[in-house]
Amino acid sequence: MSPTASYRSTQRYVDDTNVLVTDFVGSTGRARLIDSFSVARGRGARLLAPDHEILRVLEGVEGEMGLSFVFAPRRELGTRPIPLERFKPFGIRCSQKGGLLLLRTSLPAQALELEGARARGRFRLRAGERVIFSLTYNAEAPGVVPPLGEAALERLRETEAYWRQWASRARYQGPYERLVRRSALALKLLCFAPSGAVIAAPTTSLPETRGGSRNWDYRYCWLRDAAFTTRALTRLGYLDESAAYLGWLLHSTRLTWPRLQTLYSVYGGPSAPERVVPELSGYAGSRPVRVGNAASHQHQLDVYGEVIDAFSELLPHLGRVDGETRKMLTGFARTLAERWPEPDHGIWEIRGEPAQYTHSKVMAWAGLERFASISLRCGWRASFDAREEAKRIREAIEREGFNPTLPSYVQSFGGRALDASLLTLPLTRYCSPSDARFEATRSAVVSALAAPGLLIRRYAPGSDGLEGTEGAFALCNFWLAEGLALAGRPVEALRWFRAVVDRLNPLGLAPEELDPREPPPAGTFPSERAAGSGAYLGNYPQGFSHVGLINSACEISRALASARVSGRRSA
Amino acid sequence: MNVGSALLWGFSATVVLTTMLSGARALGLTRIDIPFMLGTLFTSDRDRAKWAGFLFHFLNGWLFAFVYVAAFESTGYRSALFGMAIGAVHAAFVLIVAMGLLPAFHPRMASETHGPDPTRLLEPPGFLALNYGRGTPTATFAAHLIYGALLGFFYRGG
Repeated sequence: MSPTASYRSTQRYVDDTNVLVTDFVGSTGRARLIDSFSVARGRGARLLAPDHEILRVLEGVEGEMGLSFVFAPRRELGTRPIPLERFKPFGIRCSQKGGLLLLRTSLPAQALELEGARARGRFRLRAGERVIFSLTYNAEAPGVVPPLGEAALERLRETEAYWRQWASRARYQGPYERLVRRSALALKLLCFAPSGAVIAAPTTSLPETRGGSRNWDYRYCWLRDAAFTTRALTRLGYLDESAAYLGWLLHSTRLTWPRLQTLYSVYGGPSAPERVVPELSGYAGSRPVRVGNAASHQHQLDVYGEVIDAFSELLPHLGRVDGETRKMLTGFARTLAERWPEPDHGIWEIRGEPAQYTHSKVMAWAGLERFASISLRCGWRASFDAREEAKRIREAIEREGFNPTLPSYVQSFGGRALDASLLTLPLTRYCSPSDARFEATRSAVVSALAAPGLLIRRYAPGSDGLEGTEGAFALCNFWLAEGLALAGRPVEALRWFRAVVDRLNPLGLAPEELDPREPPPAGTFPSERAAGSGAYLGNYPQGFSHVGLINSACEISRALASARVSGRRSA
Repeated sequence: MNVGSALLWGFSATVVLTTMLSGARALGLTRIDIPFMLGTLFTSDRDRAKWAGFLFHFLNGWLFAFVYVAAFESTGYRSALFGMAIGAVHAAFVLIVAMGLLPAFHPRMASETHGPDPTRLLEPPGFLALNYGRGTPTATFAAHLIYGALLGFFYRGG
């Protein structure tokens, strides 16, 4: 959908909703396009409605504007067109995966031209006029054909009200409140409602370098990312979503228990075979485009720790813990106790030989420590001593994961390379944020991995064995900021926090990585900025980055509050 | 008429018919969900409609068995083949007559002459219920043929 003559456009969300507004400004007039996925609330959720609906309302704001649209649905990653047919008097339909995809519009039928697998139209819109488009999907028949007109506007109002109500539940007060709520709303869109799974990002193969080969499929549920997400949502008070994830986790890992895979499908399937799609040229010519993810079969020790840690955060909000959950967690902890000395592929899923990654060992320590605390709280007895094993891991980390000549903790045992994942040590409560060894590590990591513009890379360029370079990893800035806030240094924390936040696009959605060569755009809040800074790299929007934003904002807010209290006391 | 046999095999044939249509839906041959379509005659609550429609459909299948049995008894002839012939007529009636009339009496169904409104917003079936997928006539015929065949083969007259 776009104006037929030259135009400028800006995008924003309606405040505290996932309803998107695109403003078109042309030489003869202005128009506003409002996009939403219809959501019904309360009793309305059970009433007749299509399985899914994308509702687009186009409004003439000023003057007059010519607009055109194309509807050309495709399957198999856009490589196969789907034949369309008229469905009088309802609109244009096609069959997709056995279901009915139906496009309806309030434009007169003759405004739509149909040519095989493509429908198109042109029309003029004056100030005060409105055109509605509804794209619905129904898996079963009879499908529900939602009416247009006032009924459609009511669905839009209902959807806005749903999101506002959801966003209002966020328990956060502090700097960047709107942005924290935006992050929560973005995370909610990554939750797959039918199963409770949380995907890492909704895209595949958006490149980590433009034109490069670091293109991965993130449309899966990484246990690590999902555990981080759960923790952030729990922190903001969204306990339903956290509990839903836990339910999904216990269900989906049943097939592989007590072994945990790195990632699963949203339905809990353990298989994600990776293949290249040669027909697609990729974003900005970045080949190959991949579907599936070979990391699913990597051994990643930290995943066990993340899952147990996420559960321990949720535990105070849960009622009784049932026997099945106890069995699952005990199995994960036992696996950790048995397998922690093994090398793995680490948090960054490096596709080379497995190594003894320090971060993985720290998470193994965290998992066993949390399990010991949970056992104590719930009165469980295990056949192994989790705390004793955690102590052994700590000894190994202190002996082999710290290089006194640097001096710093290091990426892998016995090595000299630095890694931004080490910034999580105080976040996992492995050490105090002002611990001398950690303070030295933080300084070393910052001086080794900070890129221009106060952005942090996850590791030194080229150390992952892949060709080409990549951007700075947004989450690493948030880890650094959270650690500084924990250490009672909120002003410094805000500096690193802002380095990423100031680069967010007008929608406030975060990518996986940022190109440090691109300067931050002007404007204090994302919605005030011009779009298309070109700084975004990797799959988008990235749950990991939004989780980091929420967690660091919460910690900065807490640190600022205690600084104010101690300031008042000393005054 | 052997009421006990009619009840038993009417029940069994309905189970098979319902399973076949659900299976055809799962295989992507058709989208038709007869229980949902029938249930929405009574309620606009999606969950309740599914349950009510399922019961109504099941009861229908059971009662229709007596029509088949009456045909067996009155002709004095019963076989799987004869049951299938009745099933074919039954399916043709459902697809051509009942589906055609449905938008006229279904309180929540839109029609092809009047677009949807906030009350009548269910997709109409169209000729041979083809709006619900090209495989709908085939799946419906197959299910009714098997329904008739089971009754014709297993029903024992009184």
